[in-house]
Amino acid sequence: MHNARVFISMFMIRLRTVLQYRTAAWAGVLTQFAWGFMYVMLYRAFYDSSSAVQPISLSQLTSYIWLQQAFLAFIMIWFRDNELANMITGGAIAYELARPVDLYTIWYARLLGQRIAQASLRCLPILFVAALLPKPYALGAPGSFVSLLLFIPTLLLGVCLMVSLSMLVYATMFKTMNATGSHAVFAVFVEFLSGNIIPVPLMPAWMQKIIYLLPFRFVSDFPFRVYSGNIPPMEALFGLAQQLFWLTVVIALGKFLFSRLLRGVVIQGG
Amino acid sequence: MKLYFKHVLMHIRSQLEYRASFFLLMAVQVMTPFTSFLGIFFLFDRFGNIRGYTFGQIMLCFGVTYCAYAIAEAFTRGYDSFASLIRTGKFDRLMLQPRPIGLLVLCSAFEMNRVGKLCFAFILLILGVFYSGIVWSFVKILVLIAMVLGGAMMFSGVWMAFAVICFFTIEGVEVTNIFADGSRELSSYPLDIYAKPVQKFFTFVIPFGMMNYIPLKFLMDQASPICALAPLAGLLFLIIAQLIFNLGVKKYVSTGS
Repeated sequence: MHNARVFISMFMIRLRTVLQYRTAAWAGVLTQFAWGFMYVMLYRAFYDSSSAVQPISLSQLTSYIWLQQAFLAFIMIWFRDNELANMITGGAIAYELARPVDLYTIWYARLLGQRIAQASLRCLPILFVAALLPKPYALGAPGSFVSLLLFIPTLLLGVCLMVSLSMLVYATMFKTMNATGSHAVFAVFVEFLSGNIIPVPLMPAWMQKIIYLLPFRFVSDFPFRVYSGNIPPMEALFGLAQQLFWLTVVIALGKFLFSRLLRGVVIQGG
Repeated sequence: MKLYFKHVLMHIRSQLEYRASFFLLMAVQVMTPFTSFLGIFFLFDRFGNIRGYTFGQIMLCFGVTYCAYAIAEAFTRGYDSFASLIRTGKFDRLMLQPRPIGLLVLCSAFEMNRVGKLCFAFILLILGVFYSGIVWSFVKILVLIAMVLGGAMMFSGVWMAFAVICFFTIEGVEVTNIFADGSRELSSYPLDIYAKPVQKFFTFVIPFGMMNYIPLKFLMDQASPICALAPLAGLLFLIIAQLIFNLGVKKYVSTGS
């Protein structure tokens, strides 16, 4: 109960901090909009060039792209919190450890709060304008009412999963102190495996098989396809169970790593 | 000019001092274009062509764009990280030196690890040359080289022009990178796959189309020889960007740090 209260207040603090930076958010909205537009045009050109039936329709794909842009803050792996990194390398972690709360919980709330604040600033304008665009470019309506109902929990579980994955990255920082090189490589792979470079349904069958075995696609690819009805509601329920499974596994792993590595953590600086 | 190359050599030597981190960074640099290329490969695997362009032709286009980008990144890094020059007051010190200020900013950084990216893009470019089905001639090879150089000038011009914003904001401008990255992604494909207004914008306002789409049409024997001159627009753009930058320098007020 105590942890839950700490979680909520930390979450609210970060939410308010991020909400201060409104200009940055507007710049973000404009860019996201430009990128989304470019991708929609690109995939339209591809779809026009082949008469074969694709595993995801163009209008479903268009929605997929707009949702990707609107919820970018949820799905980017490298959403770096420099303050946390500095705490680890600068020694301020000692203060954090002295607090009577679980470090994993408090950092988790902080990262989650940041992502949700960023997304809530950006998603509404993007979704609104994207829905008003002329026909081939517009964000389509959800597949059905049930799809929309399922979209919300799957999206939220997606961002929780993303945060727990990035907690693993911070955990390794206790050991390595440096996060640039190896983490960047990791980030590039995750980007690809979660369908942010090209949508998962358009990949070749063998690549999809690999991706379905990994947790990453549950962050973005899965909720976005649930929205458009490309993944039918029954299948979506099964996927939701898988999301819960991965979330439990990754959080357990993160907590384990935190407790193990913190025992041997070296406080930097003086 | 001699001064510039002396600086470049100096930067290369200092970066090679940290060998492990140098190669790691280089690996990271290669990963990003590699995954976007893998994406394109998968899309062609599925769709076969894009508005009649073959995979080979897109490879050529992608190769030209990324080569140009990597070259521009290596040389004009000084403008890219311009905000930090201003914020730390280093720019004031540069202004005191008896050399053209543009040159000094150019000298302030050189990124050797972009070599990895350049090599990757160059391999794609060569593959594109063979698989594009273009009948090559001496003139066409020259045009291809001009496309890469013209593109590099375009990207440099973008950084230079946007660096001016730093004079007023002091802050780094995310916009620059987003704009450069966006243009790079956009011009990985020939312009005519996009909607008409986009084509016009990138031909006449920010002429990225001049450095790959229009000369590509010439290479494919689908346009008149006059199109072969299009990469010159890169030079023109760079000159304009330089003028804007000089104008900015005149208006510059130091941060005083």
